Amino acid sequence: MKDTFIYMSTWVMVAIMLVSCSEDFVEVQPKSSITSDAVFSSYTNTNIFLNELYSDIPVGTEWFSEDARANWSDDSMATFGWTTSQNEIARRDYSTSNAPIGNGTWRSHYASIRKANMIINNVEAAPEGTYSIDEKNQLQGQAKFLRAFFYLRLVKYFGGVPLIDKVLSRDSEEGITFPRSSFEETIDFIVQDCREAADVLPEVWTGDRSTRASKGAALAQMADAQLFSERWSDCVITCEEIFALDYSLVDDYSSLFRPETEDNSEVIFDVEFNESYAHDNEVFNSPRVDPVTGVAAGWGHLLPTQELVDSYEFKDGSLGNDEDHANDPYTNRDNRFYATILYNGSDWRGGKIWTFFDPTVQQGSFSNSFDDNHTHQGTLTGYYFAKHLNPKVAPSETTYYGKSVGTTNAIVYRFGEILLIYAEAKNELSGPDGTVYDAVNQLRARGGLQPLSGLDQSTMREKIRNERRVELAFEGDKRYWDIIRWRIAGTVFNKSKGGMRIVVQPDSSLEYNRVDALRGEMRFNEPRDYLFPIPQEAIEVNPKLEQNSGW
Amino acid sequence: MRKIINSIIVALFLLFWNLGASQEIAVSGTVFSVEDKMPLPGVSIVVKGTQKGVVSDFDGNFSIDANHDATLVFSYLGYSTVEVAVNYQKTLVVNLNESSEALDEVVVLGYGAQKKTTLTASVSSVKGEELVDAPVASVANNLGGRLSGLLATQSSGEPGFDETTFRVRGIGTMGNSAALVIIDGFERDITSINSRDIETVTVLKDAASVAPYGLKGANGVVLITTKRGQEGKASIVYNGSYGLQSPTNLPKQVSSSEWASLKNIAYVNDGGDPNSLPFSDQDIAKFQSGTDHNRYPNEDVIDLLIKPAPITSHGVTVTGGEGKFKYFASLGYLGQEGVWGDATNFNRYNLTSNIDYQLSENTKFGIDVSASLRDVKTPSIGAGQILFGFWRLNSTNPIFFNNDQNTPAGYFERNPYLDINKSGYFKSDDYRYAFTIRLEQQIKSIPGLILKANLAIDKRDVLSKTWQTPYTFYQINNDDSLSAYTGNVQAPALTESYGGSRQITGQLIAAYNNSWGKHGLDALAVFEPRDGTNDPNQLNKFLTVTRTNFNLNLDELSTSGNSNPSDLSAGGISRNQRQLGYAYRVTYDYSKKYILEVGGRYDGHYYFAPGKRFSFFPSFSAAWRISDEDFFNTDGLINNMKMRGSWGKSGNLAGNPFQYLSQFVVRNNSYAFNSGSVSSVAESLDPNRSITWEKAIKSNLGLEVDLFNSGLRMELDYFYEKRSDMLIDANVVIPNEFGIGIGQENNGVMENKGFDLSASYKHYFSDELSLDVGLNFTHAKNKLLEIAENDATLDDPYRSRTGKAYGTRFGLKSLGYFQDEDEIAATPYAANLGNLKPGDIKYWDRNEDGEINNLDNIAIGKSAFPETTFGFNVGLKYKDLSLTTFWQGSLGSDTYLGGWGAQAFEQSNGVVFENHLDYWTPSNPNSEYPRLTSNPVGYNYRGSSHWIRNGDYLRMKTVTLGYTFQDIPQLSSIRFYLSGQNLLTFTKLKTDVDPENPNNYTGYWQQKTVTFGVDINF
Repeated sequence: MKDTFIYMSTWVMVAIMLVSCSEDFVEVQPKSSITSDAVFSSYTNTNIFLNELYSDIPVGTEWFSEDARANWSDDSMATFGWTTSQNEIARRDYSTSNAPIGNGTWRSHYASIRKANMIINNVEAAPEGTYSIDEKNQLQGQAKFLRAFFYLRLVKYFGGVPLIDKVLSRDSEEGITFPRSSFEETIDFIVQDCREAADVLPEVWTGDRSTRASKGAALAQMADAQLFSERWSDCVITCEEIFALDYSLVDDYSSLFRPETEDNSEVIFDVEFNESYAHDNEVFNSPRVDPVTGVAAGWGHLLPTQELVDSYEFKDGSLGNDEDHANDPYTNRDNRFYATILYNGSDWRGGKIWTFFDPTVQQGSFSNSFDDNHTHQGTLTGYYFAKHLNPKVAPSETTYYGKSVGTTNAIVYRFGEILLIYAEAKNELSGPDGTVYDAVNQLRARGGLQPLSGLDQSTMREKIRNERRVELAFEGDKRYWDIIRWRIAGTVFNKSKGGMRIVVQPDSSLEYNRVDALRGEMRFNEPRDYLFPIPQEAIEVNPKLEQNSGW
Repeated sequence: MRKIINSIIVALFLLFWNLGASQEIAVSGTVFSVEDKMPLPGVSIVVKGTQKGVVSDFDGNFSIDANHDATLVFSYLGYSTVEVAVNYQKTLVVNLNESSEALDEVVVLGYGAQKKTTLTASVSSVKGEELVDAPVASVANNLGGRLSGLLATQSSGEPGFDETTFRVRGIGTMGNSAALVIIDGFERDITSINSRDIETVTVLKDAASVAPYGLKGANGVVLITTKRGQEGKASIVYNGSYGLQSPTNLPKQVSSSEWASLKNIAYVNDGGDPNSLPFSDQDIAKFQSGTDHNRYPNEDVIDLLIKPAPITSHGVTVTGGEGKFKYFASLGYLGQEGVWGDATNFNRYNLTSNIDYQLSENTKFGIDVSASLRDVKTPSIGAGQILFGFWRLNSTNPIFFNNDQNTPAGYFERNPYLDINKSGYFKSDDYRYAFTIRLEQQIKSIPGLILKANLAIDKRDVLSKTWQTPYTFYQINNDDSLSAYTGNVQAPALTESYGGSRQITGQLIAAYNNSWGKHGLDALAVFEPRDGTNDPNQLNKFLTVTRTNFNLNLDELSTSGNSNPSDLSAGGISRNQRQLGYAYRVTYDYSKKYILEVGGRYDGHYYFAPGKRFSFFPSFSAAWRISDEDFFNTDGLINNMKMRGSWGKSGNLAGNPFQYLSQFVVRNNSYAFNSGSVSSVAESLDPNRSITWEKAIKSNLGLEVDLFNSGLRMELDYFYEKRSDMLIDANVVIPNEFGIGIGQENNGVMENKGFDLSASYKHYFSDELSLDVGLNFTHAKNKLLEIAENDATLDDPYRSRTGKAYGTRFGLKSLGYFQDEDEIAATPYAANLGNLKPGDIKYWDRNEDGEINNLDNIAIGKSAFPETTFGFNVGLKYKDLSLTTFWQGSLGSDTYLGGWGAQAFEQSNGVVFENHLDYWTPSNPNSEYPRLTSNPVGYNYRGSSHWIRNGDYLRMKTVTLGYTFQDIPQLSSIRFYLSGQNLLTFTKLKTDVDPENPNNYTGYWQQKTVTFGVDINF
C-alpha cells in the first residue's frame, strides 16, 4: 500500500509539473521574420524598407523582358505570336476581367502605395529622436516621389483612381472602400506629392547619384504628369525649374546607354543594373546569332518596325521614308538611328548583322536572316534592337540558360526628355518661340540633323512628336503613352506593323520590299481603349468603383 | 522543454522502480481443440493484466507461475480466446473453440487497441499481406480503394516523387485536408516504409476514433502498425520481384507530313495567303518519303526516347521469439528506373528491427529502430521541363542529325535527349531514422492498470546535389554541314543543399482495463509533448550553397569551382514547432452488449495566437450489440449485428503559422542603387490577432452485420461533418486598394456528408476451391456553407461559391461553335472582339451586356476530386494456385483539358496529337476541338465548359496469379507469382490522359507494371 501511495503521488506531481508549463511549451517565435517595430526603429532600418518600395519599380520586366513594353507601341514587335503585345494589346482582345493591365496591376500598385504610406506615416509618427530632420525629409521625400510614381502609372492606365494616403486598417472607422477620384484630382495629388518631394529632396545624392529620387527626379516626374494632363503652363514652369538645376546633354547619344558611361550629367532618374543585379535584356533582345562566331546569341525578341525606321531623318534633310533613299536606306541617317537599331549590314560586336533573305538557300535553324515562316527565330521585320544592348557582352553569355548579364541602366527621366517636354508644352501654350527651337535643335544637333526653323505651331507639333519618337525610342513605354495622350491611337493602331524584306537578286544586288510584318491588324476602339477597364475583380470588392465608359 | 523532458525521464524511472514481489503458484495443464479433441500446440497463455506468458508445447501442455487469484488468458489464431480463473487450481484442462474471426478481431486505435466486438467507433482496416503482391514503390499508392473511407491521390508516377495524399471521407475543409498518418504510435511519414513490414493499416474515420488525436484528427487518421516478433521458432522469409513499367497512356502525335499539312490549314484559317503556305507540296512529299532525314524528318520523340523501365525488389524478414525475448528484423530494397532510362532512378533501402524484452514479470521493454534511405537521381532538368521539350519539338524537327546519337539537334537550343542524358543530374539522399524506446509497467497493486512511457526520436537528413553541365548540340548549316554549339549552361554549376528535421515525442500513457461481473471498464490517459517539426515531411533546417562557372567538369564543391565571389551563393532557413496534448478514452460496457465511450484531447499548438492555442476536443459514442440480446436468434441468417453511433469535436491544423503576428520578411538582392545590390524587408501580411483552430463536429451512425455464418460481413456507416472556424482566405472581401494580403480568418463553415460501406464474402466450394470477395465504397459530398465572398458574387446565384461543393469549377458556358459568319455577326459580343471565325467557341453572354467576362461565369464542372470512390477484390484459390484481382474506380469528378492537351500548335509550333485531328470544319461541326489556328492563345482557351471532361473511371489496379510449392526439402514453401498493375482501365476520356493522374502532358506518367516475383519461406 505504501509503495502504491508514493507511486501515485509522484505521478500526480509529474502531471502537475507538466500542466503548469503547457502554455510556455507551445510558445515559439518565428525565426525567419522581424516585426514592424524593428522596421521603423531607425533611419537605417526604414531605409531597408524603402528599398522594398524602390524594388517595385517594374522596369526590369517592362523594358528588358521577352515582350518589352515598347512592343505595345508602333515602334517594334515581338517575335512570338503568343505575346501580350501581339494579342491582348495589338488586338485589344480582352475584357474587364482579363485585360493585360488588370487586377494584378491594380493590386500591385496599391501594394506599393501602401508601402509608401507606411513610410510617410510611420516616419511622421515616430518618437522624437528616431530620425533627424534631414533623415525624415529624405525618407518622406523619396516615399512621396514613389507614391506619385505609382499613382501616375495608375492614372495613365485607368484615369482617376481612389486616392489612398494612409495605411488602411481593417478596424478603421471610416471604412476601407473609397470611390475613384477624378482624373484632375489624381493629377493634383501626384503633382502635390512631387512638389513636396522636390522641396525636401537633395539635388544630388552623393554615392547613389541618379539612382535615388532627387529634387530633379521629383520635378521631372511632375513635368511628366503635367504634360500628360496637358497643364501646359505648369509644365513649362516645372521644366524651367529643372533647367536651373545642374543637368546637361552629353555629346554622344549612344554613351547614355552604355554601362561605362551611363552615370552622366544628362540622367535625372534611372534604375541601376549591374553585375549583382542584372537584367535579361541581352538574353532576350540580342540578335539571334553572333555575327563573328556564328554562335547562338540572344533571342531577338524586340524587333524594330519599318515605321520607326522611317521616322529617323536623313542627314541631308530628307525625311526617313524618302523615295530617293529607297535602295540605300541605311546610309547617312540620324546618329540616333545607328544607336538604336541593327539593320542589314550593321556592325555588331566585331562583325556584321545580315538580315537579307536569299531565296536560293534554305535557311538554317540559326540565322539572323529574315524569317518568312518564323521557322528559325530570325527577324520578322528585317531589324534588330540595339539601344540598351552592351556591345561588349560576349555572345556566349547571352543564351537563355546563362545567368542574367544585362547591366545597362533604365533611364526613367533624362535631361533630353525634359527639353522635349518643355518644347511640347511651350509650343502648345504659345507656339514655337526661340526657346522651343533651342530645345529641339539641341537634340537634333546631337543626332547630326539640320536645325529646325520657321515652322508654324502645328508643323512644330508634328516635328516635336517625331523628335520624341526617335529620341526616346525603346525607353520603356514612353512612345505608347505618347500615342495615347496625343489621341492618335485610332490611326496608329488600326493597322499592321511593317518590316523590310531584303531579297538577294541573282546578280547579288538587294531588293528592298516593305512588307506586313505583324500579319494581322491591330485594333483600337476609340475612345474606349484610351483607358483600360477598371478590373472587374476590383469592382466586385469595392462597388464604389465606377467602370470606365465603354466597358 | 527541459522541464518536460525531465518529467518524462522521472516517469521512465518510476516505471522501473515499481517492481515488487508476489505470492505465486505453479499452474500447469493441457489445451485441446473442441472440434477434434486434439491437443493444441502454440497456444499463447498469458496472466491477465500482465506481460507474463508462455506457449503450449507440441502436446498442448503448458506450465506458468501465477497468483492464486489471477486469470489466465488462452489465445490461439483461429480460436476463440478463453479466460480461466486460477482459483487455487494447480492443473487445468482448457478447451478452445474454433471461432469466427469476427468475434476476436482486435482493432488498432489511437494509443491502444480494442476488440472489434466492443468498438463504438467507425474504423476500417486492411492486413499487410493484402498489400504485398503489388510491387509498387510506395505503399501509399497501393492503399487507394482498399479501405472504405480512404482516398489516396497520387501526384505523379515519377520514381522517387510518387507521393500520395490520403484523404478520409472526401474533403471536409478548404484548408489542409490530408489525413494524419501515424506509424507505430508516432506521427511519421509513410513514404519510407517497406510494405512487407506492415502488419495492419487502420483508418480512423469518426469522431470517436479520432478524438485522441485532437487538433490533427479532423481529417481522419491512418494508423499503420508494423510487424513485431512472435513467440516461436525463427522464421526467415525472402522475397524478390522483377517488373517492367511503362506509361499507362502515352500521348500520340501526328506524323511530320500531317503536321505540316495541318499547319498550312491553320495558316489559312488565320488569314494567311493560301498561295504562300508555310509548307509546299514538295515539302510535304519530302516529309512523307523520309529521304532527307536532316531537313525533312518524321520523328516521334516518344518512340525514340521512351522504353520500359525495370523495377526490382528484394527483402529478407527474420522474426521469432523465445521466452522473454521476441524479435523482428527486416531488410528491404527497391530499385526503379525511369521511362527514359537510368538517367532517372530511384533506390530505397529499408532496415527495421524491433525487440521486445520481458524485463520482469510486470515490466516489458522494447526498442524499435528503423532507418531508410531514399536515393533519387534525375536529370538536372525536371520531368516537367523535359516533357515541355517533348511537346515543343514537333515531328518536323530532328532529334538526331543523320539518325546518330552523337549529333543531337538543338531545338530552341535544347534537345530532350540531351536534357535527359547530358544535362547533369539532381541527386537526393533522403535518410530517415526512427528510434523508439517503449516501457510497459503493470502496476501490481492496482490490477488492470498498465503504465507506459514511450520516447521517440525521429531524424531526417536530406542531402541533395544538383549538377548542371553544358551539352553539345548541332545545327545544320546552309551547305548541309553541321556545327556544334553549347547548350544548357555555359559552364558547370553545382548546388548542394542540406535539409534536416528532428522530432522528439514523448508519450506517457496510463491504461486501465478491468471488469466486475457484467461491468467492464477500459480507460486510457495520454500525455504527449512534441518538439520539432509537426509535419514529418517538413524540414526545419535548410542550407544551400551554389557555385557556378566551374573551371573543371568535376562535381565537387571544393576542388573544381572557381573563386570568383559572384559565382558563389549560400542561403538557408530554420524553424521550430511545438505541440502538447492530453488525451483520454474511457469505455464502459455492460455484458459487452451495451457500450458507452467518451474520449477526447486537450491540445495546444504554437501556430495560433496566444490564448487561442489550446482547445478541447471531446467525443461521445455508444454501441449496442443487438445479436447478443436474448430475443435475437444468431442461428438464423444474421449471426452478428451491432449498431453504433458517435458524436464529437475534433480539430484541424490548417493555414500557416504566426498569422497573428505582423511580420516582415527579408529579401536579398532585391534592388540596386549606384553599385552592388541591396536587401529589403517586405511586409508579409496584415495579421489576424485572434486566429485559432479549425473545428469539426462529426456524427456517425454505423451498422455491422454478419450473415451466412459470418461468410458475408458488412459494415455500413453514415456520416455528417460540419467544419466551423474554418480558416479561409478573406482577401476577396477586402478591397484591392487595401494593399496587402490579410491573415486567414476563422470564418468558414463547410459540411461534408455521405456514407461508406464495406463488405466481404468468403465461400468454400470445396476443401480445394474457395472464393474471397471484398467490396468497399465511399461517397462523400461536401458543401460550402459560409465562406468569404463579396456581395457581387454572393448575390449572383450563378457565380456564388457559397452553397456549392468545394472545388466546383467556374467558367464560361460554351454553346458550341460559331458555325458560320452570320452567327458571329448576330452575336453582340463578337463585334467587340472582332477576330472571331466559324469554328471558334461561342460563349453564353449570360448577363447580355455584349461582353464576355467573369460576370458571365457559371459553375461548369465538378471538382477534380471524386465524390465516390470504390474498390473491390476478387480472389480465387484452387489448391495451391491463387488468382486475385483488385479493381478501383471513382465517380463524380471532372477533368479539365488545358495546355498541350487542348491546343494543337501550343507555343506556336508545338506538337499536334492525334486527338486534335477532330477539329472543327464546316463538315465536322460537332468536333471535339475548335478550328485549327497556328497561334492558339486567348479566346478559345478561356476557362469554359467546352474543356470539361468526365473523370469517371474503373481500373484493374492489380491482378496476381500465384502458385505455392509446399513441403520442399530444406524450405517450408516457395511461392511464384506473376502480377500486373494498372493493366486495364475503363474511362470516358478520349484524350491521352490517365484518369487517375490527368496531367499527362506536363508531369511524369502514371505507370503500368508487369512483375514476376518469388517468396521463399525457410
